[in-house]
Amino acid sequence: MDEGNDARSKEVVRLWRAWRTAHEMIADRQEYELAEDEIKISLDRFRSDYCNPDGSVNRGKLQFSARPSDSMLRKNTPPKTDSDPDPTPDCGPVWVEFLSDTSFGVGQIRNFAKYIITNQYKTGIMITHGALSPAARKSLASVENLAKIECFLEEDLLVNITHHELVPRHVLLSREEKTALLKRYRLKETQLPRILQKDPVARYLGLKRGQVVKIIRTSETAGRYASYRLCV
Amino acid sequence: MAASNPGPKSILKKPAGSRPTTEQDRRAVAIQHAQILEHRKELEAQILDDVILLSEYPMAPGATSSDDPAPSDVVDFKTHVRLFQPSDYDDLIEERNVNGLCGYVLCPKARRKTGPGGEWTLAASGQIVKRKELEKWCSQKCARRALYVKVQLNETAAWERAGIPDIEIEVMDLPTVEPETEEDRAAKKLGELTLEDQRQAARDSAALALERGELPTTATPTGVARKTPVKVTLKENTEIKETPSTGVFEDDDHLMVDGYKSTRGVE
Ligand SMILES: [Zn+2]
Repeated sequence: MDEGNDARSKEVVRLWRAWRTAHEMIADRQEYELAEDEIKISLDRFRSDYCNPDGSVNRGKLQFSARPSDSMLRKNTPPKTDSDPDPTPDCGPVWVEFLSDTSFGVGQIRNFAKYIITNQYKTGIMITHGALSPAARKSLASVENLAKIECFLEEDLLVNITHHELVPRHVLLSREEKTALLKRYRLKETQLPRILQKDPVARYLGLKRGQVVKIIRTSETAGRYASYRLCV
Repeated sequence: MAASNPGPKSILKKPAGSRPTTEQDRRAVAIQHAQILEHRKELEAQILDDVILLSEYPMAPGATSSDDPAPSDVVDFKTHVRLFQPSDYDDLIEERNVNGLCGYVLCPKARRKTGPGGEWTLAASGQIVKRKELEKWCSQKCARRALYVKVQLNETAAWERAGIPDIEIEVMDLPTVEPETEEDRAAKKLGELTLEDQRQAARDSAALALERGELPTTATPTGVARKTPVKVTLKENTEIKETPSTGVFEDDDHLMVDGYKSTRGVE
């Protein structure tokens, strides 16, 4: 590392950190199939695998996808009904891409959504180094029922917020677990405390409205205790 | 409370008051609220579609500059910008810039790129301006023309405009001074047809105000316009048209920094 102050070298470190957080994020979303050695790569390996000869990062190479495990598919399949004897699961393969454009408008969102839909991904995550235009942000809602598109800034992923000691562990409940919880406490879901979909941890876990997370805290006096929140 | 059991009746109030009491009334209110929400969603979607559409204008082939826009593009611009609030208009400018275009809808040119550098830069006139502001347009002329449209937009959200007469956007510096071309007239007719509902609401509230003995809000010298509020709108338009000549819009208004404009180096 003879060029420590070089801007290009700083860029490599930034992207290496964002890339690792993106992989950890996918691995933390229940049980996507990602091997441990796919997540925790060293800066040197990152440099040799993803950099151009001139030392700049080739963002096009950073893209990756992950498939859900069988247990994740099972957990996310709605119960069979007479009208729908063979229900399709709510989850599916995820596509993650680092985009190199400097500005993002509706056009880029549409292209990305088209790619996700034609390649039959269930979720698409775009990681950008510039903010989306206001119209692009609004247009995300209009493709919502075709594909789940999530956007992160590279900057948001430099640090994995869930690794912070003050952030308690959040665990997503499956459909059955949610039903059992509500039944046990005789609650309607609207009676649960809430977590906003735009909350950083909710975004990290890709929570959808109506899902419930279990939040596990440890306290010196009370030991481990759990609370539940409904994503709205 | 079940609908079949109305419960004891109050002797003080008539049971059928203004407040919804029966299950049926409550349902009607709920449906009405849902409809209002639905209407608002539709309008928001419409505005977003208009932003996206106008972010790629002008459409007419052969357009070279905003000095000489095609009449069809002018008509489209006026039609689609009608529901915008100023903030929607800002979104449109940003979206055009993402597309590499000058922020003014009727301009086919690329936006200005001043190259790398800091937050501030020198304008051609010698003033220090925000680089971001300068790079929204291809020229000062377009910045002025875009601002001219923005100040005409309604601050009230589209779904709250019931009873407010609809504005008609005017575009600055059109090559033909005579606005009544065949296309213009047709477009105006079409616009008036779709606006008739809102105008009726405006007329109704004006009539109500008259009944209550309040003065009509728009006092016209002739008094004729009271019967035909549409003409009032047109009158306002001609007033707007005169504004630029009064010097309200200076060449460099959009370049003001915190209300201060350097006079250094101005020819
Ligand atoms: Zn221009």
